[in-house]
Amino acid sequence: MGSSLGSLPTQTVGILCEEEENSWEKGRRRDGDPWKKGGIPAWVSPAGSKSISLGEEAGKNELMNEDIRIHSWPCSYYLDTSKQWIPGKLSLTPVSIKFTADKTGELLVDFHLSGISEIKKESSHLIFSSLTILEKGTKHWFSSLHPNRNVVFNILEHFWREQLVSSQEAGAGAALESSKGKELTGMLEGSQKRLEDTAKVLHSQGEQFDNIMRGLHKIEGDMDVADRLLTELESPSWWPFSTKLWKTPLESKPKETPAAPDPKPQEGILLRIPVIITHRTDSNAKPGKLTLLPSGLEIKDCNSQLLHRFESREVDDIRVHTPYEISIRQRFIGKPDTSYRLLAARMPEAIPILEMQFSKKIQFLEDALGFAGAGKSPQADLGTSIWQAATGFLGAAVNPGLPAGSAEGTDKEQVQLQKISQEEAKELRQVNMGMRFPRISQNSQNGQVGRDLQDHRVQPTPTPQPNPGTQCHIQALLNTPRDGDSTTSPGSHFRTFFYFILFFTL
Amino acid sequence: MGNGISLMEPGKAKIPNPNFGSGVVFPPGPASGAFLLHSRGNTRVEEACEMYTRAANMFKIAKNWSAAGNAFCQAAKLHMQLQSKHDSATSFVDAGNAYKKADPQEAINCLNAAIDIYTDMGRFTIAAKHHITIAEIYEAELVDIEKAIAHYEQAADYYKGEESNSSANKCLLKVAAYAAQLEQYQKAIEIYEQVGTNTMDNPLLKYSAKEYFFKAALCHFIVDELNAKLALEKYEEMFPAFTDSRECKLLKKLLEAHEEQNSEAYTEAVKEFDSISRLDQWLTTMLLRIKKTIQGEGDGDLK
Repeated sequence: MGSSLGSLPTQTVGILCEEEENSWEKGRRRDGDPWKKGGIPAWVSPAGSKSISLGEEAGKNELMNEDIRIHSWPCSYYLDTSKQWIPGKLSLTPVSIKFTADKTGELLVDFHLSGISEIKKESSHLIFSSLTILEKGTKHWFSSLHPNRNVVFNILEHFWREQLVSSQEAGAGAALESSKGKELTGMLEGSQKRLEDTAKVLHSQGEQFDNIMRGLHKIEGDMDVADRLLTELESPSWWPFSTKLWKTPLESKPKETPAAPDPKPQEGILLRIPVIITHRTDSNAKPGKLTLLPSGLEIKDCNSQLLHRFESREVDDIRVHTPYEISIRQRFIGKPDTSYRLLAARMPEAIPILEMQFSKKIQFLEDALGFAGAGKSPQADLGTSIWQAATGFLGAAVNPGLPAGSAEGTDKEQVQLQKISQEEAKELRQVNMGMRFPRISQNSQNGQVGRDLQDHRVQPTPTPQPNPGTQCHIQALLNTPRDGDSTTSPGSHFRTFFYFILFFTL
Repeated sequence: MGNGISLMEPGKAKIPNPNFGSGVVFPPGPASGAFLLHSRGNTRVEEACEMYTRAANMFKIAKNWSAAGNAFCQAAKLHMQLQSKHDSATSFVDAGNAYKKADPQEAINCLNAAIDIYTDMGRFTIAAKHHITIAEIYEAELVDIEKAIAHYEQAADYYKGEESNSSANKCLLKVAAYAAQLEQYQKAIEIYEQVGTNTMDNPLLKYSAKEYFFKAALCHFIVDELNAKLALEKYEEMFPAFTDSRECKLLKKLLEAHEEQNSEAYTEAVKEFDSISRLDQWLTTMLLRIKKTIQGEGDGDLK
């Protein structure tokens, strides 16, 4: 109501006419047929002017100070001090709002319209519809408004806004011309606003998808551990050897590809670095070597004697304590865990590879957090070598035969990695550079979604859109505001408007 | 409803049972002897939990919100004894939702308890979400804007920590809007500028950046006209697209009108802007405040 800003008097009459109809409806419902009550309906005030009463008694009161009051409504007001609703009358004058209690007749509320900071439709106790007016930090609650809340709200809001837009001498009829161009600009402005909102929502939804992916990864990681522990529980406790020997025959029933027999030691070595090893049981550190293989990790002492070999799926967690120190652990039920703590100067090279191989299990502890977030010093220094290492790894994943000549790597990890095609690897390399969470796109099952989700940060395309056609139009529209901004040229308006129509017809 | 009460009683009756207490002392440890010994006590507590939850759901059907909230609360406490933090937090949230309809203050207490658990578990996103719920309760039911602001800020902090910048911005904008309403303009300005600079580089969000700069400039305007001018220049330099926006043009006109103390011109400019895109309530309030400074001075001249 009253969206076009005509002069004050005409506007007022417009509102009141509508109001009259409203109270007519109400009056009919309340009193049966009002015409029966004595020829003239009670709710038409004798002067036929602006003050409309809503009941017989109200009509009389209003005549007395008709000159000041624009309108008044019977309602109840919540008095905060005594915590009760007081029935009375809410009245509006051109500059202020007043509330008078019915019983005592005292003025409970009286403030200037210009002091209002918010008018809202709310419900008290979630049931009763009421109107709240926020005035300089205090909130006034009005409820059980007659004839209905919306009418009161619209009228109050109108007069409040009129405080701002009406000039003092009420330049009557001056601002009535509204050209077609202006109307169009208004429409475009409106649609632009909606699109801005849409973009905002899309962005936050993209972020939510991101969070979901992260959650899913965590869940998957936990499931892996649970799965392993369960298989371990299944094996009888009297079996004295490592569960691996027992498990191999059983392994045929799980859903995934069967585990490889014994991977030969000659498979492609991803990285071999000298490390200082601390085993869980003894506290003295020994020098040794850590070898990263596609199928697992090997820890050797300085005489190249194998100390321990972790198969990829045996590793339960890897903690990164500092960029130079990690610990690898395999959990067991009923006996101590196997865990090694490794310290190496070249660890920053190994961590990215470990991160790719064990994305779900790796965990950055406090000191290493800076390392996990890109852009901190250790990674910045080693940036090139890390990316080289990472890309080398990807290369190995695509052509597993290349690095060592023997195409033995048929275990689970390897098979999974082979699913990455040449183009995907290329894309991965590209995306990896600009991204915070390379881990998401690394998981081959969810890689596609992960990449899609990440894309909304890298490219200007909005998040996944089911229909490419619609996406085009949205993009076109998203690009148009620049035209719309330089308001003056009508040509650009029409172009944008054309897009707008297109968008809706599609 | 009667059903609900009778269901709740057996749960209550179990509490003084000695078994119950012993079950609580030892956390359920897998494959330990204690587990077998005390599993009976634990199952009793579990049963009590279940009963409370069922009772709460019955109360919900009967729309007895405060009783439902109370039952959920009890269930949450029992879950805590069973060391299942996650269930406990979920029950606290349920309790909060039930209480929201009857006793806002109690709802806030429950949600706070849930938040404590969630932050303890490191689940900050969900904690932030409940901070927003609390802020909304303060906003709508208890009308304590200061506290609502505090909770929105806390939520924004948590979201930022989790790299959920979009959600963080949403909270911060709420804070800014309320801060401006409470005349804490400096705070509002800082937030709007920060959000504006964050969003202007984002391909998806840059279209809304002008709105934030506009609002920041308006806050500057209320405090001091000269500051507003400087700020406007700064924003134009930072974000060239801002120069072409209608908001920027309006600001320039308003500044001019204010300089000349011409309330007619001011009104005219606002009217023109409003005829194309309707001013929202926040903008109306702020523009009115500025207009008052013109009129106030004008009146002073007349006298």
